[in-house]
Amino acid sequence: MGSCIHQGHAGVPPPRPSPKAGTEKGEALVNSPAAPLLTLDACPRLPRGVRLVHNEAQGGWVLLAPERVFKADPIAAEVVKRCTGERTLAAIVDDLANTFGAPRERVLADVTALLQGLVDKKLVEL
Amino acid sequence: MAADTHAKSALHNPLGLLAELTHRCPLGCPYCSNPLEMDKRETELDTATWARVFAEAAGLGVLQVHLSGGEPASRRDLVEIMAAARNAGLYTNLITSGIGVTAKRLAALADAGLDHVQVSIQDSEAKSADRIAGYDGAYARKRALAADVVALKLPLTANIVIHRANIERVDELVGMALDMGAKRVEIAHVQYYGWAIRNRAMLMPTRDQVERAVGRVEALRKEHHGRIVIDAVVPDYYARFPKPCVGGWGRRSLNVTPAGRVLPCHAAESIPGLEFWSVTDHPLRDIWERSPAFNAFRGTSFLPEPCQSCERRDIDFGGCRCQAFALTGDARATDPVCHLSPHHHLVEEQAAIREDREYVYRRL
Repeated sequence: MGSCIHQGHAGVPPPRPSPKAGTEKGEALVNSPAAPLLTLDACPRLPRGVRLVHNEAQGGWVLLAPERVFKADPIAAEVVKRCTGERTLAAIVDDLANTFGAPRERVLADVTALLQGLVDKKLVEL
Repeated sequence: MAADTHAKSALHNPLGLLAELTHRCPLGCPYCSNPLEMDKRETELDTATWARVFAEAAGLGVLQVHLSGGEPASRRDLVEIMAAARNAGLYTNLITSGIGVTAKRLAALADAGLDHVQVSIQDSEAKSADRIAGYDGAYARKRALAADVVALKLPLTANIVIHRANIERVDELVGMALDMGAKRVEIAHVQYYGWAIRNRAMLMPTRDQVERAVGRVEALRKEHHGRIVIDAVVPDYYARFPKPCVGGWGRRSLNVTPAGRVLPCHAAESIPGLEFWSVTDHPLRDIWERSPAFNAFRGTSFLPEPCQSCERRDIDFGGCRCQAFALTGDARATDPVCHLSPHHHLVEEQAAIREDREYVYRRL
């Protein structure tokens, strides 16, 4: 699930090179003072300017952000839909494990990896 | 028939639509990307037509709409237009000079669901910024608008076009963007189309200046990682390879002019002989799929050598058609920015011309 988000590019004006691939993990940890770590009692939410929408013509769910478009697979969409800022990560994981009948530990690992990636990209706030 | 089927399967859905709501603008930036021949106020599409265009765009797969101009706030119905785009399900990005967007109007836009604001700013020094914009007090009004945007908790991007008059201040420009509360800053080297071609000799930096600026952007990106996203638009005339302009002709985006003509990119009307269709005559899907202008340079089969056998053919699509035409007179040619182009010397010759005359300001 960690790789369920694929980056496209909606850039219209003016043309620009595609954003760089993510920085290497070790470096990102040292150099990301602004990216908080996800804990079980954190309440993830989409910041203003980031929205999850469904578009039939683009084949499903997409996460929209300033000058950026990310395709979200159905599982990522289920996770992001639950990021309302009103539920803790623990509650989101319980809900997903129940809804999809999956082992809680596995769901926790997958959801944490997905959301931490989105937090680092500023697509999710804590 | 076989060719048709192939063309159909290769057709992508557009992701972005640039809505040029008006060509009217209080600023006179000498690198304006609007065409030299601009649409007059009385030819502008009305609110209802824009609403229909946005609904058709969403049906076509468009996800984001960039409300631009000219200055979009020159339209009295800007809030209604934005709301129509938002109601169609589109992500709405307001691209503004900041002039004409009062705090009250901005609040109305935010209430109606505006997603993101991009404000252009001409320099980090007020006097120089106002001179480049050709408008006294522009800098102060832009800073005030940026503060309003941040106070409303809307995400803000600062767009800064760089050229000979401000290219030495990349550090100060990024510092200004941070100070404004922007989450993203675009450091965009002038792209030479329209008014910028007219002012090319006054805007053109030296190779040394460009190399220093590129180096500073790289360093600042590392320094401010996690604080602000720095996107750069490459300095075409000093590049080795061309940019994949608008992600490929008729592939990812479309542009609607104030009067309703639909273009593959904002400069496309600079290429003579193309037939553009208007939203007043055709549904957007028909224009995207069937209009002659969109099909003129779709794909790569029209490209000559060295593009045809180049490993970068499907990466940059031979570069920009408008630039190929502007510099060689042939829109099918390899973009002469590419060092492999037989016309590359034309770019080098133009980059060597620098004059210190007054700008030719963009005026409607």
